Amino acid sequence: MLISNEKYDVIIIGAGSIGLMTAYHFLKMGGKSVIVLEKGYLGCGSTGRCGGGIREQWGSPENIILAKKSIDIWEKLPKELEDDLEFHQGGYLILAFSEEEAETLKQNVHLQHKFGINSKILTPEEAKEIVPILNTSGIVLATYNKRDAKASPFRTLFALKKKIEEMGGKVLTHTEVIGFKVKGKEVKEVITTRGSLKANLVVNATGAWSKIIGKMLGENLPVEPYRHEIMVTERLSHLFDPMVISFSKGIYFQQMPRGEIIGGIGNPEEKPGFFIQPTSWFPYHFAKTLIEIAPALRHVRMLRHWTGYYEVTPDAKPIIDYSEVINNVIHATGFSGHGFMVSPMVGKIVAEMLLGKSPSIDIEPYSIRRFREGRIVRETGVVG
Amino acid sequence: MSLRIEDHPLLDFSDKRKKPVKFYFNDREYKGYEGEPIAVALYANGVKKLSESPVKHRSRGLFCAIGKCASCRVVVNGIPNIRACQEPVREGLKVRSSKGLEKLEIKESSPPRISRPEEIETEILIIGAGPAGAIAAIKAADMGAKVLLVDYASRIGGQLIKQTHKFFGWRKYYAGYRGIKIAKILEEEIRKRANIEVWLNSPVVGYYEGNIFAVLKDKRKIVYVKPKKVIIAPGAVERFAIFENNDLPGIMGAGGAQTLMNVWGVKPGERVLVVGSGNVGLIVSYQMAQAGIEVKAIVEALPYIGGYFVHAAKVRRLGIPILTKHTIIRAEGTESVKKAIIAEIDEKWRPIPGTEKEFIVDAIIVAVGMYPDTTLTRMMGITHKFVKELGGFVPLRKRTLETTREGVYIAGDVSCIEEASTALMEGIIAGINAAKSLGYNNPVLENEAQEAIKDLEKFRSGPRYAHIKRALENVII
Repeated sequence: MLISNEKYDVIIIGAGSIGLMTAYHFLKMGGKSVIVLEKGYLGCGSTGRCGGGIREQWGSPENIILAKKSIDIWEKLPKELEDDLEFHQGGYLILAFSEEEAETLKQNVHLQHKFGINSKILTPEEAKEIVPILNTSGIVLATYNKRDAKASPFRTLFALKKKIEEMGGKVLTHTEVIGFKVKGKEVKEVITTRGSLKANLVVNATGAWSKIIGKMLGENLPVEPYRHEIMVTERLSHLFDPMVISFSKGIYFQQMPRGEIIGGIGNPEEKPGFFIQPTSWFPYHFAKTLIEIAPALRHVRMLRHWTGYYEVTPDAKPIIDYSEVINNVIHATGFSGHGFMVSPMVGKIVAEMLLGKSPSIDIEPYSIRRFREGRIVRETGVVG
Repeated sequence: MSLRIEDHPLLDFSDKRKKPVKFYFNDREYKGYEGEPIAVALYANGVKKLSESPVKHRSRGLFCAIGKCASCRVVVNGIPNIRACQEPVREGLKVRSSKGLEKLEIKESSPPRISRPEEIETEILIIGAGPAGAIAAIKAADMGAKVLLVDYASRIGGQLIKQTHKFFGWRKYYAGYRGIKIAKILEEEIRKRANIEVWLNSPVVGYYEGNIFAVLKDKRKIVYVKPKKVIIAPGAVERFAIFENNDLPGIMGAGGAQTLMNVWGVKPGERVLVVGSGNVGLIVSYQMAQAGIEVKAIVEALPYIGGYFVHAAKVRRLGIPILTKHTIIRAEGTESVKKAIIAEIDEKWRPIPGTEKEFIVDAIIVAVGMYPDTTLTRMMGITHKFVKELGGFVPLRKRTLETTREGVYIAGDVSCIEEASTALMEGIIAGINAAKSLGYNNPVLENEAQEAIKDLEKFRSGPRYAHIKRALENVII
């Protein structure tokens, strides 16, 4: 199907969780004409490859605020989208393996409490009550927050697309943006592999690929794609509820409602770039670390292993800002591996920006300017 | 009731029945033979239902018999999700059927030690030790190359080890021999060559950046293999027919039936219906009759018999009816199949009301064709094309059988669904060319590869294969 010269108020590039949540909120708040363009199939980018974790236990106000307000929305989403999204609040259990790490987690909890988050510090034995397969040796303490959650990335994307279409919006897959027609400081047309579209406003929600879109607009976004590897096991009956993570070991794993365990581990030697192939480094390091933490899982077989990208900024915090080069473009990117969990609130903020309303939270901390001005404090709570 | 074959005109199972063992299934004691898969021992004892599906709790049992599906999942000594067709029985083994999703009841307090997988290099890695892979190994080794031949099965020969009939074709491609004999010849030739290393029971389970293949050696330990050249010969996957209750225990593919019957000496049933009259359907029917099984009928949706006339004639001589323009519409039973309901179909393949017939059966064997097993070639990023006549998606290839990825060759059913003789020809071509690309030379063998290319052309020139020959032109690069 070719498209030509259709005109929309808003064109969103990228039908991952950020792009679709933006379109959904835009329509919900009264916006009329919106189209989301996706270069591949629905879920082909980072959302469809992610672990589906949702947490408000973060180490910086920027991420805590976004995550907390996102969970407020997540709790209502299954009803609004008429799909359970496999959304389940089973909590996150964060493990500390050294005094130093324990100190950082305590500080994080202290900070979280300031923002009204009900996270708790647990002894290793208390942690084992929540995750009975836990090997407590080496664990100094754990933090736990029952309100943290999980959801199915695919179910979420498909439910959003359905709802957006019911509300009069459009989602066009297999349509890649290859350029822009810019006049003065405004994008007039978005050029795609299927023809050109006219737009008043454009959102760059292309995650790992947002730097490429930025370049087409003459803007250098400080966002780099990093390959991350993840795996899924065979299905078991219910074994444990929370997502279990360790920042120092770089691992996260959780059991999904259908019974499979999903988990990943970050490779500290990974270089930025579009490397898509799985590596032989992952299965051994993941399995070894996993069974140190949960020895019984040695009897569970890994079924598949794949990769996806974290789009990483220098401080591992998002960019939600107007373009510094083009007047009618908004960037929502740089989520550094946790875009899915914060997508409801990000979608809401960007929709407010699109509708000319003032954003319901202060977006200054998410500005592009902060990198140039050197006002960056790195997020400590990144895993995977 | 025992389904064990005690007396077979061609096969002797005594070497597989050396040591009787007792084991337990759902707390009941059963007898089996050491080394045979749990599913086989249970099937021999008439136990067909092994698991229940997680959502609708439908009965499931032995289906593929070669570890490719999850239908025979059982709990073995407390460990869930064990494929009963792959796990051997041992004295005192405690087996339990899977009811939906299973618990992990085993408790482990301290982590076991695991070591980093060993990484090895080889000149040529050949994946699949069926006719294509086995002959490729022999020829590449004769050229001088160092070969590692891996297969998930426990024997060399692929599907040949289940074929008791004599093959047609040309003498130089082992025509006139039974499949089981060809497998033996190939195995002997491989064992003679010091530069072929063979890993059986060793499936390839991963492919990673840097051209690294993860092989689960002896089904126990991962070894990373980094080859200079690769020959991929994984064969084909069976298609399955869609009909009501096609998941009932006792319904299986022809491959599963042959594994049970010809490898382990256990009958798939006493009274059987066969779906599909291609060569596989005809041969499996004949083999079942040979093993003393009553084959009620063969149903074929097409208006004509799919397989060779010779095979059809043999089956007909035994009094087995072949019902063309018929299809199976339903199976009945709760824990295993008890009845098959078939009907005549019209020219649009719709069942004609009033033509239904019922057969009292305890097994239904489905033989409705195969498609190339391209799991690995697709994972490796090789370019594929859908060509119906070749069986589905197939890799693009040169006449030397090198794919769109340099140094990666294909041979056998993965390139096009054909027969053992063409698989052998392709194995010769791939094996010699892969070795040649490493710098090995041997004019006699190189000439043999040229001859094999010509023989393939000649073989496919007959009226039966003309459509394949034409279709192949779409995938030659």
